[in-house]
Amino acid sequence: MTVYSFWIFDRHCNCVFDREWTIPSEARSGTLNSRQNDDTAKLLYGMLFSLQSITNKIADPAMGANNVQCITMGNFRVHAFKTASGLWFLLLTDFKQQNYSQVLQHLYSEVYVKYVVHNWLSPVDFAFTSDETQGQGFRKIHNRRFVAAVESVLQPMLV
Amino acid sequence: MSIEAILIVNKSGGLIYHRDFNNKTSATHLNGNDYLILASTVHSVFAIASQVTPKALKLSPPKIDFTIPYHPYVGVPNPNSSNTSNRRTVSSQKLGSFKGPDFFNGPFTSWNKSGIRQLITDHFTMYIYQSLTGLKFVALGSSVAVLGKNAAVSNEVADNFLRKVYCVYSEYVMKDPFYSLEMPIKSKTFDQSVKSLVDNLL
Amino acid sequence: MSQASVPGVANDGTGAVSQQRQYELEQEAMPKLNRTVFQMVLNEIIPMAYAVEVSKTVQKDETGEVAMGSLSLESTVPGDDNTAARRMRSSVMAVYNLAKLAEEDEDKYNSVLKRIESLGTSIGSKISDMLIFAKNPSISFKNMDLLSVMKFICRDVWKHVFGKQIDNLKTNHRGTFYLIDLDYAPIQDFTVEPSVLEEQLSEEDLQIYELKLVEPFLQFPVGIIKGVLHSLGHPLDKVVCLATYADKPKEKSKVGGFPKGINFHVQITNN
Repeated sequence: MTVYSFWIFDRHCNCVFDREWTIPSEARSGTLNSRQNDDTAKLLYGMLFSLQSITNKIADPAMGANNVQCITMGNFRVHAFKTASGLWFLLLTDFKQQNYSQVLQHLYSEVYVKYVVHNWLSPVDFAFTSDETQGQGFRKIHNRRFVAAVESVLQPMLV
Repeated sequence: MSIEAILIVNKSGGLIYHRDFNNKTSATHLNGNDYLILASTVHSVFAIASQVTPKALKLSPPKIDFTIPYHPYVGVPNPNSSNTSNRRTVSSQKLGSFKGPDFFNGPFTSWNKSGIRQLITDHFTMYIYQSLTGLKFVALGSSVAVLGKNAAVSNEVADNFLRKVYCVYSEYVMKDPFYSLEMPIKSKTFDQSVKSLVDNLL
Repeated sequence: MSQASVPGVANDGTGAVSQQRQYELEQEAMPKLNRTVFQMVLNEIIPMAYAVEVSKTVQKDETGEVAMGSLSLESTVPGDDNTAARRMRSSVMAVYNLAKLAEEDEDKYNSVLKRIESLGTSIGSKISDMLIFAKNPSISFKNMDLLSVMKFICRDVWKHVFGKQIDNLKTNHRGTFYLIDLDYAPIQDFTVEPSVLEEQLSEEDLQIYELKLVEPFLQFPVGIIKGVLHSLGHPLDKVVCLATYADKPKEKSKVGGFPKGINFHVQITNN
């Protein structure tokens, strides 16, 4: 069950955190928060956003919220988790394991809430100016305990 | 797995066929315009998908097996079942010019190597099958493919099913001399056979 | 797709939760919710004290200028025009601006710290009345001796306000006490966020800066200690209490918590 990358997008369509592993079994490889206004981040979010808007249109309003959970591509799979506050947690993996929703939920409730929401030294909303609230944001979550916690959760899944 | 709708999207992203298969109330019914938007969105997302490939895959492409196992009698009544009324209709049913009760009898390779194949949401699942000529067959299923062993199997079943729709398409649409390529499909026989495929799936 | 039977959840597909189960869930969740909210309110005291200082300065200022160097609620980012978002952010930026204030204007910084401490004091003075009979109805401080008062603070007060007891109490039996809390609860998840800073700092500088940022948060428990002592007969001017960082011994430190523990040095001068 190889994990290729992990992304967090906020409600302003900005990428707030990204971690990619370029060499699959090498835990220390890859990049952290290197996608500034990179194409890949915007494309990934755009794809997710369009699919989510289709889903909203097709869905029966009586059945409650209908969020994209998993997108299967030819080579890899995208697992998505949307929080009530509009945050998207994405995990790009291979085909070996089917269900990553537990992992994503754990990352949200035990890592993000603990080290970003309960942390009085870190903002929750990373967009400071009106430009940044419209998709031009560039601030990322860099605080070391959050990063270390993400690594410790996802490292066992790299192989 | 019950199919709610089938759409066919042509090479340039236009919707050439769309059919609803349930009797939902008009509250949830999407109008024609919405389906056009849906088709073009699916097409463009499909195109983006190859660019979103993670770096690890670009550096060392894995050997993925693209063959899809064969599921017998998907969308076609099973002559071996004990249902006697079934047996009578099978022999009288002609699947166009294809011989035999089922169209195929073996596994096949998927031509959809870099686009979206399956979209799972909270309340429905969407399957996309791409032909070698760039035509996309989209099926909306109402049940959620439970993320477990179920998802892969339902994907295979959907691929088998959509391949049969492709066969029916090549039979009744491609062989129609009055049909112009990439235009909306208006063929009664095509409609009928798609309907029977969907009915037999349940 | 068979649904696992969860007690109390209707099995007809709608997943409606029975009333009994709802009550149980509420009972389980309420204490956690209460403690989380309480901790957040405690931590919000620091940005609020800073904001009060800013508005005091604004009132005195006759030219009508709002920003005075770093003493401002505004974030230092230009092009910022959304008031509601700004207000949301000011609570985080207040902590960073407060650290800047320490270097620029010592008096104002000290007055913010005093304000935080006084909030702690007012709570502390009421706590002793609340708690005296909470655990042991026949509790009595024999001759009001200091040691049992300090033990009361370490056990009952800390447990009530912060959910855990003080880890270590040292004394020289002559009016000096050291209360050591290795995992002071409200600051456990704090880490400095480098993307908010204007300049890049090295790893060690970041750690030092982090400790500086968290210092004002320690004034609150200092105030609590002084308040409790005050209510039990030791007036505020006779008690000196300082909070410093203490290193955590390897065996006791919880993995992943705030890197330092807190050492409260209490000195009581007798009449």
